[in-house]
Amino acid sequence: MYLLLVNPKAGNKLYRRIERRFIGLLNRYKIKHKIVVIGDLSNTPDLLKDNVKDNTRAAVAVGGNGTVTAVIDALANYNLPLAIIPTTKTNHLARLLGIPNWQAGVRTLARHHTHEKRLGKIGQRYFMGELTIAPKRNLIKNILIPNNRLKRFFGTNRPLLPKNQHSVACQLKLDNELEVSGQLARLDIHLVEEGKKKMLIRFYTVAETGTEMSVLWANKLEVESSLNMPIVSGNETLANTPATIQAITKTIEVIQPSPKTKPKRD
Amino acid sequence: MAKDRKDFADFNQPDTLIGKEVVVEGSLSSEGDIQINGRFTGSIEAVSDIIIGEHAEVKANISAANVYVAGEVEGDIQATKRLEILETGRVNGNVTSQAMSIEPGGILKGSSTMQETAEQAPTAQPTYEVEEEKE
Repeated sequence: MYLLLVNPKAGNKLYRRIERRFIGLLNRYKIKHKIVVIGDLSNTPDLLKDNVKDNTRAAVAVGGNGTVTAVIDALANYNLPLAIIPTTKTNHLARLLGIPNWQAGVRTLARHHTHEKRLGKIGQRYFMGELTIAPKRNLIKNILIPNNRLKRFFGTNRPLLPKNQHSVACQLKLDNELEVSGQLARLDIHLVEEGKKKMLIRFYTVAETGTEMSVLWANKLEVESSLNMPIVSGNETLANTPATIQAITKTIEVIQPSPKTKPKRD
Repeated sequence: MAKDRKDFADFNQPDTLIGKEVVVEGSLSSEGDIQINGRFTGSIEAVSDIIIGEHAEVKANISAANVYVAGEVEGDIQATKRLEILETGRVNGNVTSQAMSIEPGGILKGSSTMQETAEQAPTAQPTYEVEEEKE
């Protein structure tokens, strides 16, 4: 049985509008479930405590980023897989997992393909995979524009030359052990599955000969800069500097679409 | 693993790398290799190798299996295997190692202590005969 923790307020109260179709789709895929409505996100741990039974296969966060964060926080003491059914357009983790809408979320649940994932946290938001921090101009020209299909078609997706790259005075604090400072052109953070330190940090600085890379490792990273810079995952800005980024020590089992199948529209 | 001079120019996958324009303070420890090309103050510890690049300025005590110095180091160095000071390298501190080499032009200001290599125990067992007691 799947425990569906539904936030009815998420996505401009989308759940109320889709409720009948949602339950219909669950039944169509013969997904045994129990729906628990979250009135207040701070009560999520209590809801899990009252409703997790021996036959619970996974906890399913139905809602947006806030719902996902509350469910992951509450899952810390359980050995249950997490599934996400997005009812907002900005559900970041669902998008990273390749679940674009609630229909795809239900289908993913039906297939029950699990994968161990390392999660990271910026402030109160979770992320997985990779983060980029850079001055806005470098970010737009070098990271976002090359991915823009229209710009690529017209051939205007040229990245900035290293000598034209902006740099911002930046200070990093790694695990309260190391302080690193330099003129930052770009910072990439990768969560790694194995190893003592969970985050691989690539710190690019502008030098006369081009960009210079530094490679560092940490479990917790504090970033401060002279100018606020966006922290981007995929194409979405999750936060701005100054920020504290940390890798969660425990990996979490996540139900995600199987790599071979692409979600199709109902 | 011992490194050649070419490793200083093309050190593709170090576990930790501090670039030329970067200033670092604190204690750095790694289970892999460390290369420092920028400025570092504090202490450095690595299970395998540490490379101090040509433009590096390091004020730290260093401990690793192999240490290669092509830049400036102010502090003590303890290399459990090998210490190499290259022609552009300058060390201002006491060094301890099993093996050491200083290229012409390399400078060491401080004392040097050579550690003895651990003697290997003989692998062959001694053979001897026990005479049976005659009744």
